[in-house]
Amino acid sequence: MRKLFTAALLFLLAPAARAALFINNTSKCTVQVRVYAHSEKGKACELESKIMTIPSMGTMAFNNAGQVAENPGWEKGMTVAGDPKAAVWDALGFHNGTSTLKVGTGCATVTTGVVKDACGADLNVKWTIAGRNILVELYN
Amino acid sequence: MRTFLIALLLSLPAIGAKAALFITNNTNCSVTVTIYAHDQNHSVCGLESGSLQLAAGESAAFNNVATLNTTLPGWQNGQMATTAGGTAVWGWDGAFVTNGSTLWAQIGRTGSCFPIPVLATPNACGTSSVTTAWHVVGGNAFLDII
Repeated sequence: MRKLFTAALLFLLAPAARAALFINNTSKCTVQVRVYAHSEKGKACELESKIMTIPSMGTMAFNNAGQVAENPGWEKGMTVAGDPKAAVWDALGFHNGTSTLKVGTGCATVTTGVVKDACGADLNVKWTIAGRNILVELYN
Repeated sequence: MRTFLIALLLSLPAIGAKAALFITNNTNCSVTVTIYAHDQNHSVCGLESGSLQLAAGESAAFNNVATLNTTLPGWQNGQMATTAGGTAVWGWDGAFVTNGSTLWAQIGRTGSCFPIPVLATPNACGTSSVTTAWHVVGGNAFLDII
């Protein structure tokens, strides 16, 4: 009964939630990624972040898209219009130097994929919705 | 041969081991979080972190328990955590979330020192209620302060 209540409570919380984006690199290699988002009334992937470098076993946490402006910043002076907490995460792009794998929604066509990382190993890049948050996992 | 295969199968989940801790403060108030965990040298809740200050609208992420050996807020009393043995041996247990006054939430996973997954505290952030929730999705632990 308590579990059911808990589940119901979590479910009720979901619609009003403003999602955080977490990136978790459990691979053996440093990765370079960009994130894509859009303002509340904008178009998918209209906002493109600068490249961020995440070491092996490193993480990144963004409470909302507004925080991207501080680090790593948006490309070409882009800014979130309106309430940054109402902006929406669209995708994550992984770059291995020669090719790009984009996972997510909006401008991405897949939520998971495998690509060679900079160390030459197969890297899984996976976009999932975890409760109220979006989680991107990179792992060998 | 069969034993070997079973051992191999059992070891597979560890390769993509996912056991990070992700914390989100979506309230309009600052909160202080103390994290509890275990590893091969520390029993359930035996690892206790320093005070993690999270401003309104801030998030934090920790890849594994050893991350806190070198990252603020660290472990108390010079404790050092290890990921030896994999996620079958180490793991996140729970958290104590407070704002120094009304908010006083001790939550965590089943079987931990704080086996309550969700707590709602009325008037914890001004006149707003604050819900503190601990849940595990895909092997990762999420602490949402909403």
